[in-house]
Amino acid sequence: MSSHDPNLAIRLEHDIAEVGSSFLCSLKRSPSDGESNDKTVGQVRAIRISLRMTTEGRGDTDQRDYATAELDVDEYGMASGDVRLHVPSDAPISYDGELIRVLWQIEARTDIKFGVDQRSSAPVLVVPIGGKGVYDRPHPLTMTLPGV
Amino acid sequence: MVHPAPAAHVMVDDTSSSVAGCGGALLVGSLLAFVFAASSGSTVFMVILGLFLLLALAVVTWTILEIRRWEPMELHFSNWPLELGSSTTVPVIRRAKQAVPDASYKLEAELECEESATYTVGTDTRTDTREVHEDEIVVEGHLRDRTFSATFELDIPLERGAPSMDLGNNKVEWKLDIDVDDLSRLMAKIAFTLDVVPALDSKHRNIQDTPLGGSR
Repeated sequence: MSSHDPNLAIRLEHDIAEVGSSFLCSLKRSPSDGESNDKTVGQVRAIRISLRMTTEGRGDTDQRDYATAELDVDEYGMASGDVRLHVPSDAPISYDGELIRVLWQIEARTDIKFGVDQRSSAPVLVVPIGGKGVYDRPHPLTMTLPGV
Repeated sequence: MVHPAPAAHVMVDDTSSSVAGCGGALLVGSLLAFVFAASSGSTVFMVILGLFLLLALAVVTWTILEIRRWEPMELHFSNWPLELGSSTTVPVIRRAKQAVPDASYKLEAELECEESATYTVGTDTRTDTREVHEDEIVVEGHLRDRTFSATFELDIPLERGAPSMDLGNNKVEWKLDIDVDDLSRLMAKIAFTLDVVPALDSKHRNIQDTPLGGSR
């Protein structure tokens, strides 16, 4: 169970990567006023980041985290840092087929002690090797990202 | 004797062994049923099963003779692995183990990209498939000096289907069915599963404006 973390910002160097390459993302968590009091000190344990593939469509959902990382937080729940998530060379590419849709996202989950974890996510595209210039726009093989 | 150019990859059909295995299983099954019928003392049942046994024996004998007549089919791919947007020359070779008359035959190659999605409804598990790309190639092949040979061009499209993937419930498979008229009734259609990797052919790599869509 999780809810959206309004205090966590994910910034991506690129929202498209070829298989075998990686996503570089910057994360920053700055607690809101409500969190900056004595009661919440030490409540946020870590921020866990994952590069997640999920399927949609006719079949049952397949989901897998292809890369994970963890960012340490200070006692006030603040964190800032860069994380590189590698896309394996045998990973499936983003795909919008007739029965199957393959979606990728980078998800950051804020692990809260004795509380509901909060999360933020950013959709990304995984394209074939050499496909950066070809598939980074609406195309049958890839899903359209907001703003692409 | 035909010697194709050195190939990047050779795929060999292994259907013969599985056909022989099925034939053997059929024969053993019929034999066991016949023994059971004989022990139960039912003459009519025994006669019917006896006919089945003879039929199975004939099928297995014919299968073995056909397998002995031909070597497995070989596909010699000029480029490997298969990339999106690539074009590959594929010589098909099949050698006869016995003397066969020289002749020309039609070879049909069918390239298919198929999506399959498995889902559960209550306690049932169902799988739906959808063909997202199909390409039919027809060429003439020649049987000379006990060797059948034919060559065709295999084009993996850039904009249809996706690289091969098996995610568990969701799959994308590339299949190549080879059918040679009258060459061997047993191996009427031989299916190969191809591995298409998530990479673009070098001539399409990192091109900003391709025929796939408009400029950005």
